[in-house]
Amino acid sequence: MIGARRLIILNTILLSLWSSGWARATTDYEIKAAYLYNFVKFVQWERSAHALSPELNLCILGRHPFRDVLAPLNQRKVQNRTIHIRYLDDERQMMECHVLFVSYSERKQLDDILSLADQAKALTVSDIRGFVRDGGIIGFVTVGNVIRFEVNLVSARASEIHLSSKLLELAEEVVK
Amino acid sequence: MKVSFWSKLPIRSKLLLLTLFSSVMGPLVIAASVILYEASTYRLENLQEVTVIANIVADRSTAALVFGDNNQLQENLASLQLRKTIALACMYDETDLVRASLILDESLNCPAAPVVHEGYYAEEYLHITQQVILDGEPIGKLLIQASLVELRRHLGNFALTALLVCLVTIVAILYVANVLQKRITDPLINLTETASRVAGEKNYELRAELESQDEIGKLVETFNDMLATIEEQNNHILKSNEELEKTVATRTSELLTANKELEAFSYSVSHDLRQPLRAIDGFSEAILEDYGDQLDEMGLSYLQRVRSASQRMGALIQSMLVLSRVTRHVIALKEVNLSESAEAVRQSLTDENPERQVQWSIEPGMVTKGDANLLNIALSNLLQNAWKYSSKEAQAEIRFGVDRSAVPPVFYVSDNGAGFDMKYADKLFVAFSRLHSPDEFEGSGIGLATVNRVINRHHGRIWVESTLNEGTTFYFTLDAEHNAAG
Repeated sequence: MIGARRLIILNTILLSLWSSGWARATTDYEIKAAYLYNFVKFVQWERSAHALSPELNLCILGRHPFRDVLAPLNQRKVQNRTIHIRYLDDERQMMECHVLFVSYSERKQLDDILSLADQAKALTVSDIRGFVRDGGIIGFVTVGNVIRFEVNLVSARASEIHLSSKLLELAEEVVK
Repeated sequence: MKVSFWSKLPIRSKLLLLTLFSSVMGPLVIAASVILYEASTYRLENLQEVTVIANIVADRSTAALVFGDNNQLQENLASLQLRKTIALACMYDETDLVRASLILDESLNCPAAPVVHEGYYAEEYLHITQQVILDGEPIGKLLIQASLVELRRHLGNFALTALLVCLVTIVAILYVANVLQKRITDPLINLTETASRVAGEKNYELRAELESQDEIGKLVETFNDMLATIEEQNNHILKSNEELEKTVATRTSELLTANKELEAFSYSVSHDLRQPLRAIDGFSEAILEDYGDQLDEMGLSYLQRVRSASQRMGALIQSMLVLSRVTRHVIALKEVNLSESAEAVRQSLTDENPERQVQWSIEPGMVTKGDANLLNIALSNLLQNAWKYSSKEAQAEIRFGVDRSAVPPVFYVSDNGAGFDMKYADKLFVAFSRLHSPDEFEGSGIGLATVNRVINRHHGRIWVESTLNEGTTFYFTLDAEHNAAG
């Protein structure tokens, strides 16, 4: 019941972001896309290059399930920065990324990706199971039929990323 | 009305009212102004406080709103419970759907379409509805309703405290003022009582008790000094009064004795002198009759002089007897017709000297109250005087009348005779003083003194106007009623 209601709410958020004519049923990835967008609002990149950049690169690595869901986010302003959606072919392109969504398809190379992301100081987000325990920063989990998230503060600190306590408050689990 | 009430109030009550008024007004005015100030500032402060709280809750709820965590939202709102005045808190999402609510007053409900505003007071509540903003974008609304019960209680407590303070102040002031005022008013009351007693008893030996060294003490001292002065002067007056009365009594008795002696002397002298005088006159007459032919002209003349001198002396003695009779006579008041009396005198005078041509004018019907005998004596003296002093006039005129326009009426007797110089007027009514020599006009010098005494005994007044060689007018008033009344 609560889950269904939450879906409707997220739907409305997405509605405001996406075109008004959007009438399809909300998918998990639509919710996750909204989450990605909202995460950015509660994150501070402390590394100077990321902190000062007027752009906010939101990178998608791997065979992503978002289809064109993320398109409306492109060029939107968050924290006075313009969002650029980038679909990466190679994990080595991630050095400019503020946010790196690792698709499920990349679960095999996760260690490599995470060590690169560590260098890139990117906020790593993924729905790969055990992502947070493996060193990712935010991982989507499904509790019942509700999509929630876990946080690894250790990884976040290592990447010099500050997560708002408001966000941590909502996390299903926080690894410290 | 109010003024007379105030003026009738004892000083003690006045002082008490003054102190009460001034000391109660202070706390009351302070309490009233503080209550007013509190009432106006409390609303503003309350608004600011609740707004700040709403801001904090809204800010804390941004993530929960965008990630749809209603539990977290509910928790955030629950923290508002700490603030007792908050009655209702509602968290709306962007579509005005209630996502979480805190209903502490069961009569309230989250309204369906909240309108954003900065806050207003209405219906016992403070209403605040603000937007929840994340990264510059509105993502929901927070509505808070805070009751004013606390404000009411706050002000009520304040008023109660002020009232209590006033009451305690009043009681304390009543007690202290009573004690202190006794010190102020007691000397005054003491002084007033002493003054009343002094006035009532005429006892100047009393003194007010000196109880303080202030102005009242000075007043008491001055009052006592005044009393001392009054006592001294009173004693002095009483003493001199006593002495005076003693002196008067002594003098009066001395005078009475002297008067009696004088009267007795003058009566006996007059009476006793008549006998030898009659002998002188009688034997002189016998010598003239029996031995007149043996005496020469000179002897006869001398003898004639002896006779006339002894006759004059007889008349003088007769006058003195009349005067003393007038003095001792007991007055019997009745109606006296002065016109008739005057007519009788005129008749006898005309009979005695039928050769004289005198124009008489006597106003008829002059009736007055008095002693008939004494008034007769006075009137005949006055008319005889006029007759006598007009004797050298060829056309003598004698008038007796009254001026009734005056009160009391003024009677007058006038003649056109010799008259006299007015500078001697004051000697006129004194016995034995004469303005004319016996050669000019005969007389004893007692007549007018007798008249004066008669008028005096009738409580009247007598005075004279005269011009030498033109005539004399005597005026007199009678006020016998005064005598009767007195």
